[in-house]
Amino acid sequence: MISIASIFSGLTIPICILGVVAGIIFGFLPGLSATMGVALLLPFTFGMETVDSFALLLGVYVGGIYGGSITAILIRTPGTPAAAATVLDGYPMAQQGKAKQALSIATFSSLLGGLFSCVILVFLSQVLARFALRFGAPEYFAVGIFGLSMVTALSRKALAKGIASVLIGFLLSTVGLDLLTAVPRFTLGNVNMLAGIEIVTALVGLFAVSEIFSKVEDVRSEKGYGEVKALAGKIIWPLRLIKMYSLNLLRSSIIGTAVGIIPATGAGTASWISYNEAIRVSKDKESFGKGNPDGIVASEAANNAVTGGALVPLLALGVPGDTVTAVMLGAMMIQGLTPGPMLFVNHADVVSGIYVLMVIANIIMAIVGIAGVRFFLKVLNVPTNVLMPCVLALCCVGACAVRGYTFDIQCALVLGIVGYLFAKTDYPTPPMLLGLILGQTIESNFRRAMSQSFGDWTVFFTRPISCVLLIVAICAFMWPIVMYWIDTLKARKKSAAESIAEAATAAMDVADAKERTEE
Amino acid sequence: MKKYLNLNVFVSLGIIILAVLWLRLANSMGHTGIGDTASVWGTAASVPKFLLISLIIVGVYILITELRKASKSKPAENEDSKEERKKVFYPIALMVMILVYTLVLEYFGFIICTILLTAGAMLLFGSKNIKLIVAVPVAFSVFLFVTFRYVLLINLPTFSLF
Repeated sequence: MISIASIFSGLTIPICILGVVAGIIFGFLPGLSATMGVALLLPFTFGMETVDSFALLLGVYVGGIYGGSITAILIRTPGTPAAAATVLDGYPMAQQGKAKQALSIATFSSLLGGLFSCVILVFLSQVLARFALRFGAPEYFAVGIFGLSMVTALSRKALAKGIASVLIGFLLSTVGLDLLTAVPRFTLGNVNMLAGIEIVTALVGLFAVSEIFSKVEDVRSEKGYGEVKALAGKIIWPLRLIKMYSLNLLRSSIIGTAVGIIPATGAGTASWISYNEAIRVSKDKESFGKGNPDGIVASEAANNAVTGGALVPLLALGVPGDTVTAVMLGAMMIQGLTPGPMLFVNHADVVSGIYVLMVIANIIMAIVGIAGVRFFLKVLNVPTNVLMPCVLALCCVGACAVRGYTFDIQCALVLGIVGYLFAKTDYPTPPMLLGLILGQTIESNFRRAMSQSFGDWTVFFTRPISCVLLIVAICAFMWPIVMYWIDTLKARKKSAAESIAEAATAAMDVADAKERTEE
Repeated sequence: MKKYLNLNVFVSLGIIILAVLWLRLANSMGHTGIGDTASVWGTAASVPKFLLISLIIVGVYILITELRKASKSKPAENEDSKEERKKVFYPIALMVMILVYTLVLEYFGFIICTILLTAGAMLLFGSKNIKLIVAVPVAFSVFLFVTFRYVLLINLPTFSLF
């Protein structure tokens, strides 16, 4: 039995705080994730009251998704795949001395995204869960393609290189045992490669290890260490954040919640889609990737909105929305609860208790996060020649921790070299990660849809949801290209007109000079 | 000819060569698929093949663009690239260190290897304070080992030479 009074009495709130702190640590450290945190703490809930066990697990879940953003912003090492898009603008902001501002934006965007998803969870969970169940292979494929369409937004002026990058990422996702036929693909006879390339390893390699290589080069050149003012910048409080980024917050929260509701997607997909939409809508597209706060708002609001969204199908239908909720399904069963429509009838108190705990966990996450900013910023006061070697050690342990293979450190090294070379030759690395994250979803669902329809291509366009998503994806892919062409044409016309005007003025001057000499 | 030999051209060429080799692997995979659709898109190699052919086409386009750019580059830019080559010694040294680290990690264990790697990286980053070069790697490696192995119960390699 969970009552509102029972939540606020006893140890529930301290347990929730403990869960949030543990979650932040799990999210903070590369190689650990919210899923791992929930799974590791699950045995501790066996002897707990229902209310306390949910307080702990929801705290870890919410804190884990948020925690990844801290290292993403400060040291360009996203702790979780959900925070990968946060790196793009968070780290440049930290380098510009706005780390405090970036962290506060990440914290409160996460809070607002999380709270928005809670509202949706309370009012629309049963209706939305039924809608999400209409998603089949063609729809999942379309969602993946929609996510991939943002390659144009991420690449901008180096579109061909962006496409090459996304293709390489997609190809890397095909390494290992084929999901549908169990055929080993591109493993080169190495048993370690049968399980494929771990996303956390790719994150560590592409972002953190490549940054360490760039830094060691900079340190030894005229650029030197560079100075980062750790305590510069102001905290952006929630009301100001809402005032400044209301539309972005709303849009990103809706995207995050919607992606969370669709089973088998996740916070990583949500944050990329949301980031893409933020670029597409923005008037200042060029500033993205260089420290635009809108990028952090989009990524963080979306990835934390997934938390509430993922609970929708879990509670209403007993279908987990992502890997963390899959572990939580086990926790519910341990407590003698069977998620599904009957949960709302037989255990309405538990459902309402979970709603309240989700709100509380989000608020605690924001309080802990903002209180911790001062401590997190200390990282930036550490000299580069001490910080970077420590980050390197952390990268090694992070890459190794996921599966316990030292082979994963070699993967991180190779991807670090790739990231370093790509940075030197203007190949964007985020599309590669995008391809790696979405590749498996796209490929497996494409092949599943094709086999279910006996090779009929029209299956993607005869189903309304997939048709709409694919059309939107094509538009989202083409829009930046068309806009770029239009801008180039305009610039050419303008320069041509200017040169004609210049030539005309020069001719006039020559004619005047001739007249004068004749006189 | 020399002005065409820059990193952009090398990376583009590398991508094309990699894609061609990868395509050979995909072709040698055979046709294991699901049901009747295996002949078209159901096989394990079908999607990778499509991606690889696309990558080769994009790679060739990038290579042509880079060669065109290189042909327009000025000699001064080539002088700059010589300076660039000198600077890359440090990243390459770090890459070699990490590679050696991964090769000996299973034998010497996490603590010893990580101490050496961190200390080596500190030297490469220009640290000169010997006390710091000793203290930081030892403290940080032990902290990481204890946290991951005993608190989070994650297996890390231990000394196993004997």
